[in-house]
Formats: sequence, C-alpha cells, structure tokens
Amino acid sequence: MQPTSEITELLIDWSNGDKEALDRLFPLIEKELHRLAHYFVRNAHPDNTLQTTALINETYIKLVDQNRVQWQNRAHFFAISARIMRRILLQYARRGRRQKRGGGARKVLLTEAALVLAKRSDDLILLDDALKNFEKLHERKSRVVEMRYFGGLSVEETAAVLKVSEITVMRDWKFAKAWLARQIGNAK
Amino acid sequence: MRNKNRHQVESIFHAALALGGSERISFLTEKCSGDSALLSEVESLLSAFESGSGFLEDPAFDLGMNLLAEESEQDLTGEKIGFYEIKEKLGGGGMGDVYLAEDTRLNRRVALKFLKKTFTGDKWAKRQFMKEAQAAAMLEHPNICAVHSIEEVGGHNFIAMQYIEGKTLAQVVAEKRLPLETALSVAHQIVSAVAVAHSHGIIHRDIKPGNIMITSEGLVKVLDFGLAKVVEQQQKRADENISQFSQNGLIFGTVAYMSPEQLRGERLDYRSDIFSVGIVFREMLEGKNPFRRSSQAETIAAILSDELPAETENGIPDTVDATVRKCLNKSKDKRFDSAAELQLEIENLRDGVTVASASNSVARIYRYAAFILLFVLALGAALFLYLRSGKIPRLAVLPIANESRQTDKDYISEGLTASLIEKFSHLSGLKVIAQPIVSQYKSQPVDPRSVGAELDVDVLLLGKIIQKESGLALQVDLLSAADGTALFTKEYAVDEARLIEIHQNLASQIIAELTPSLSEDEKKRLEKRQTNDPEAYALYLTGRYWWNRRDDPKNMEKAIDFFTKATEADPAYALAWAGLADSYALSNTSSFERVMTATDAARNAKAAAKEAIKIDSNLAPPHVSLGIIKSRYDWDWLGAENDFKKSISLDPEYAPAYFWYSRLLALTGRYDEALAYADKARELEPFSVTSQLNKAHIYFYSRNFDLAEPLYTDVFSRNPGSAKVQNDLAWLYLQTDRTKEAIAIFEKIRRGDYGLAGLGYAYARSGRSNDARRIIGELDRVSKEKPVSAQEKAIVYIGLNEIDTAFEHLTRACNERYAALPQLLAHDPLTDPLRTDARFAELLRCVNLLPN
Repeated sequence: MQPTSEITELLIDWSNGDKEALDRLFPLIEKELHRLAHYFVRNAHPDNTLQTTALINETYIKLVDQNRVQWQNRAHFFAISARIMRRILLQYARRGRRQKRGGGARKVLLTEAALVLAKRSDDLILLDDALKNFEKLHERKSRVVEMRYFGGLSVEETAAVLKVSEITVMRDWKFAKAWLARQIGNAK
Repeated sequence: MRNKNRHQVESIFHAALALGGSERISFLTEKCSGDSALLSEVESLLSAFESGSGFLEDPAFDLGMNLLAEESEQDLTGEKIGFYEIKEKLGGGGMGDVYLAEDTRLNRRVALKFLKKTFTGDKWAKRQFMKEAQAAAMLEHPNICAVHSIEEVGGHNFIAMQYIEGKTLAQVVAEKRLPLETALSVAHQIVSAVAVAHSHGIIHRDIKPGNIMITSEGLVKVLDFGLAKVVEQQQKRADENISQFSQNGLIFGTVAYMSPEQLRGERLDYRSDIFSVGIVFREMLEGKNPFRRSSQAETIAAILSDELPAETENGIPDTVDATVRKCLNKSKDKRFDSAAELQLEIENLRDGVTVASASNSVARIYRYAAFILLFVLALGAALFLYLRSGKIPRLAVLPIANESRQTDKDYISEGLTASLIEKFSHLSGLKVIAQPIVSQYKSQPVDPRSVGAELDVDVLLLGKIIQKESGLALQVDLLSAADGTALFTKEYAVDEARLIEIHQNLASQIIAELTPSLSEDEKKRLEKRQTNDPEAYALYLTGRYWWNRRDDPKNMEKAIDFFTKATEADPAYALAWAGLADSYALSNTSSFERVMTATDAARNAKAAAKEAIKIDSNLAPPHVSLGIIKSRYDWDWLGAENDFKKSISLDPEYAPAYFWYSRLLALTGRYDEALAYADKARELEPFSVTSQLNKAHIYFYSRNFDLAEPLYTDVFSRNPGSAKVQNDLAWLYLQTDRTKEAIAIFEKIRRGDYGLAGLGYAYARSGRSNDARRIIGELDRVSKEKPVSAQEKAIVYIGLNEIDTAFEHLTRACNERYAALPQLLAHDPLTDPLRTDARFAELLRCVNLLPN
C-alpha cells in the first residue's frame, strides 16, 4: 500500500476508536517527518531556521486523501506528530547533554539548530520531567501542552483533537503553563 | 479530597487571573479564607504564571524539524571530489555544508561549501548563482575570506575558499563580551570588508556573528559575500511556486541581524548592511544582541519598533554608543551614508581610546605612575599649609573618580586614592578616613558640609580624572567641611612632557614648605619611596590593582605577571617582592586557573617574601606575606599570628595585616576580635572585594547567617559580576534552605572546576544524587588537566551523606596540604555532620587545630 492511503486508512480507523491503529501510525509518521525535514529544510532555505509547523500542514495535505477524511483528522495527524516530536527532541536534548558533559574529543558541529538546542536542552529535559508529573494529575491538560508546544497546534486544532471547547483549551493551557513554570522553577 | 481541592485551586486560579492588583488580593483572601494551604497553592501558581512570560510560547516543533534535517544530511567526509579530498565536516547551514578539504593539486587546505540543489538545480538558478558567486570571488581584502574557485564536479556544486582556522564571532561572543578595544578593532575590520564589497556593488545581506571568523591572531574574516542574495532570489521563486507557503507567512532565516527594511521585504541598499554591523557591534560590547527575544516574532517586532535602552551598560563610552545608535537607526536615511564613513568614524573612536590607553603599554603606565607620585607630594604640601594653621583636622579621602569613560584608567584613580590614603595616614595629628562607599560619592556633586557632617571630618579631598580635548586631566579639590570653601583647587594635565617639568620644580618647593611642621620621621616617610623607578612603581600599582580584584581567579594571574615585571624592573623593590609573595601564597586555590600544588606555591611565596625582607626588614608587607604562608601551608598558627602582629607594629596602617589576622582569629574561634580587625582592614582598604566580604564570612562561620546575608547582598550589589561573591552567597543559601537559588548560582558561575563542588553538594542536598555523581565525574576529569584537591570531592560526598568516602578524601586533602582545608574543618557549617566523628578530631590534629 502507498504510504498515503495507508496513513489515511489508519487515521480513519483511529478516529473510529481503533486504538491499535495509533501504534501503526507512529512509525509511519515518524518516517514521514524525517523525510520531510530532509526535503523541505535542506531545499528551502539558506539559514535553516524556518517555521516548520506550516510544513507539516503541507505534508498532511500530501499524505492524506482529503476526500476521505474529515478535517478534524488533520488535527489528529498533528497530535501524533506532536507526540513523536516530543520524543525526538528529548532524544536530542539528552544526547546534547551527554556530549556537553562527556566532552568527547569529537568536534561538535556548529549548525544553528544544534546551537539553539544546546541552549534549550536542559529546559527541554526539565519540561519533559515536569510534564510527566503533570500528566498524572491532569491528563488532558498535559495533552494540550504536548500538542501546542511540541506539535505547534493552534487552539482550534487542539480543541478538535481533544473534543473540548476552545475556551477549555485556553484555560487548560494557562493553568498548565502556571503549573509547569512553578514545577520547573522549583526543580532548577 | 485532593480532587475537590484541585478543582477549587483551578477555578480560583482562573478567576483571580482575570483580576488585577488589590481586587485580586481581596478576592483571594475571601475565597481562601482560613485555608492557608489553598491560598499559597493558588498564589504560587499565579506568580509562576506571571513571571513565566514567554514560557512555552515558541513551539519546539520547528526546532525538531531543523534538527532532523541536519541529521539526515549526507556526510561527504572521506570522499574524493575532483582534486579535493574531503577531510572533515566543519559545519552546516541552510545554504549547504562546509567541509575541510585538501586541494591535492596545490597541496593546501581549503574550505568547501557545498550548495544545495535548489541553488543550482535549474538553469536559471545556476546562472544566478554563478554570477553572484563570481562577483564575490572578485573581492580581495585581508578581512574577506578569499574565494578560490566555484566548481561543479560530479553533480556537486561548491565554492572552494580559504580555510580559516579560528572561531566564529558568535562563539567568541557566547563566551564573553569583548573589551572595548577589541570590539572596536573587530568592528573596524568588519566595516573595512563591507566597505570594499560595497565599492564593488555587492551588499552582503547576511552580516551576523556566525558569518564572521576570528583567527587566533585576531584577524577578522567576513564570509559569504553576495551569497545571501542568490538565496533570497531563489526563495522568492520557491514562494511563487508553492503558494501555500507564502500564505502561511513563513519567515526564513536568522532574523536577529536583519535591518527593518530587510524584514519588510523592501529593496535593499548598502545601509542595510550598516544596520546589521550595528547589531553585531553592539552585541560585542554588551554580550548580547539588543533585539533578540525569546521568539522570532518578538525579535522581528523589536527590530522594527523597539528603541535601544537609553542607558548603556558596561561603561561603553558615549561616543561609541552614539556610533552604534546611528548604525541602528530604524530609518536608513539617518544611518551612516556609507560603510566608508562608518569606517572613518570607528577609526576616530579607536584613536580616542588608544591614545590614552595604558593597560597594555608600560610606557604609558610610566606616565601615570610618575604623575601619581608627583601628585601625592603636591597635595601633601597643600594639606600641610592648612595643618600649619594650628588645627588638627580629620580628613576624608573620597575615592577619586575616573570620569574619563575609559575603564582601563581605573587603576590610576584607584592607585591615586590608595597612595593618598597611605601617605596621609602616616602623619601624626591627622585622622584619615577612607570612605569605602565608593559609588555613593562617585560622579555626583558633593556638598562638602553635609558629607563632612556625615563622615565627621573637617576636610574633604575630592578628585576626578576627566577627559578633556587636550587629553586626560586630574581635578582636585581640598574642601573645608565647615564652610565648603576650597583650601586647594588644582587641575593637572596628565601629560607626559609637562609632568617632568612640574615634578622637578614642585618637589623641591614642597619639601621646603613642609619642613617646619613635620617631624624628621614624618618627613622621611613622606619623601620615602620604595622605588625610584617609575616603571617599576607603575607595574607594582597595576599588580595591586589586580590583586585587589583577586576574587576573579584570572586577575591573580595578572597580579603575578605585573609583580614579576616590577621585580624585574627594580630588583631592589621590596614591596613588589611582597606582592609577588602574596600572590604565590594564594596560588594553591582550586579556582585559580594556573593552580599550583601547595608545595610549589609555598616555595615560590617564601622565596619572594624572604627576598623582600632581605631588602628591608622593617617593611610590614613581607611579614604579612610570611604570615599568610605560615597559615596556609605550614598550618603554623602561632607563627602566623606573630608575623601579623609584627607587621602591625611596623606599620599600623597596612590593611592586609588586619585582613589576614582577622581571618586567623576567626579560624581559631575568636570571632569578636576577628570582626574588629575586619572593620579596620576594610577601612584601610576600601576597594578590596575580599576585604568587603571578610566580615560577611566571619558572620557566616560564626553561624550568624541573618547578619551575613545583608552584607553579602550589599557586596554583591556593588560587584554584580564577581563569581566569588555569588559563590559565597550560594553557600549562604545552602545553609538557609534555599537550595534552588544556590543551584542556580552555581550553575551560572561554574567554570572549569570553579563552583563545581558547590554545585555537586547542592544537587546532592536537593536529592539529585545522580547529578551530584556526575559532578564527581567532572571533577575527576578536570583533575587530569590541573591539580584538583581531594577536598572538592569530599564536599560532594558530604552532600551525598557518604561519610566514609568524605573522610577518605578529606584525609587525602590533608596529605596534599591543601591550603583551604583548615578553614573547612575549623568552622565551615558544611562539615557540621562530621564533627562528632572520631576521625574528625584526627583531621583537626592534622591541620594543627587540635593539640597532638
């Protein structure tokens, strides 16, 4: 099966309540993210800090058969990307921290994104830890953070995935920010 | 109950968020009436929310995509492309990756920049690229990275260019902001490069620290001229082809160095580069890009509309500040018209700075040192004219202000103040008060009557060094506190040629003037100089200047260098030997960059101290040096005490004797005496940060944390850049249950092994034992490069409550005779958990603090 139709099928299955569909979607979308990143970022611009949340929109349009799914599925697709991206970023952050710590004689490459990550890796790790604690108390709110922060989803899209109102998403978002800021502040 | 409570917290939180100020307070009080846990829960959330502005605002998704993209790029290392052997990947950017390669034809190393297919993919793009790259390749200038050739080999398009070994300016600035002179030099070189390009009709369009290399010789090389244009054009075409992208308003590139017109997508001219140069310039001086915000959108908004803060930090001279501001004018018409004009302006600025620059030239130091000697004599004369009127005055020497806006002249103003205090304090019948509150009377008009009353003195000495058109000048007023009249007003041009002339005439006059009212002894003292060599004197003063700032370990190196040079200039200069002895005596401090073993430090210090005593056995400073050595290395407390006492009897006005004696008194538990001596030292040595800290230490070690804290914060407010001060403050926080704050400080100040043990201890105490163990690993690693005392690891083990291991390491520290060990054992609260252990008594015996 073409990735396009496979992803479309799985998305439909998942939104119809098939939990297993999600497990199969993950590796597919992750692969797509890698491919996309390579293609768009490498070919798009000199200065390599581009806003890629727009890219994922493009990807979705390309990957998923629009005629067969409702628009909310786009948000679901985004939500999965957010989860994947959270994991990817954490891997980078941990690796970055190991490199910083372990020193290693190997020269670290000076790409801009690597420089940005170097500054943010500790914060990312702290945030992830805090988010795990937060998850235990406020499951939905933690999903809001994941989608908004790691996935770049809008309030509207987040609301669609979670099937709650936008006002609720905003409230969740504010409360989560306060809670996480406090937690991270305490951990620092 | 928890669930209900959680719900309540949330609803109160949201409702309170909508209220401001007093409304919110009364709302919270009402809603949480009586439930203090609830109130504090909501309040802490509100405060976290409000102080966390910008938190989570910038999605991390983009960063992740960029990282993925960089990772997936093919690595060409090891391949042979045409005549080039690819050796190593140097970096990557959006334009393409850069490799170090060997040009096998010419046997030279080159950097190859591979361009992405987009730039060379179709005919149009390729033509554009070749045109621009070739135009840039024509540029020849020492500050422009030379392009050797533009090549197409086996499907690869790349630019072969000069391989430059060095760092990017981005890396340099990330380490620390640049000194004014360096920043001016770098700015000048950048602008020279830009001016040449402009004269060839090439706008750079992407001037940023990442595009500027600095070689180890300080030579600046600007990279990538003209290439940004190709990329921009390519981008425009791409945008037209993929309409969704432009609809989505994608913004590409590092926006933080773009001019407002560039961000607006307008047509650019040369003045856009001038704006970018302005940002880079400012970033070098301040250490940060003035417009960079936490998100790209905010950064763009800042460039488009934020003005620079009116105040400049870090003592940037007004003239330099004005130049930067002119570059950064939002309106290009108000900037410099051309890079050439800016180049000229920077040359003028550099002249202004270097003409009077003293720090790197012994000849110039000589000029000021001779001046200080002369001035002290002249002022002595004036004062004694006043003294002869029969009254015995109390004199306050206010710190001489350096208003020349050249921070490297601080040592002159300080040296002058210190010399005056030193000379006058030896005169009987004159009470000299050195005012330690430097900032209070600096750079502001002083009303002699009120200040006189406040300090309880009769005469005030005010001075400042100012920049005049003709050069530096010193203005001095000796004012009567009774009626504010000037007893003596004089302005001296700090001018080499005139100095020698004045020196000869005045010196003899002054001595004649003073003779009747001075005792023979006093006259001798006033005339006495430790050296007749002004160069040696200047070197010594500079050494002391750095020595007073020994809270920064780097400065200790400078102190040693200057003292050494002073002894070389005049080998019979006892004070310089004493300074050298003092410096070596502290060289076994772990934070010290060229840390010495205890044995080496003690040996060097003793040799220098003995040399000083051999030259003049009645001189106080070398005795203090000996005392320091005995207390730090021999752990001969009685011997050290005798040395300090001896020094005080020889010269009751020599501050360090009181300082070190005070530390010894504290170490042996005599806190009240220690405090009194600390005050005395501080009064005599107002500029020394360590002297300022001493009293706070004594309170800290005597467990009076609440008394120590305001003193620490006071010293901190006056020396916000001092890592030592912050380090000490962090230890206080650890003792007062503010582990989080302490960790934040340690993480900030750590450098090499400095602050590391503290950080490890703090981690351990906050339950982060894995992090603490990581620190132990780091200490091990650092110790392969330089001596690190076992005490450092012991501290972390104490935090981890691994008492046996801690004792093991402390015993090792004792065997290495680590200089800071007695202090830790004698009274540091850190070791409190060990004190009841029998092994602790053993350690105390080891450092001679318990009788055998």
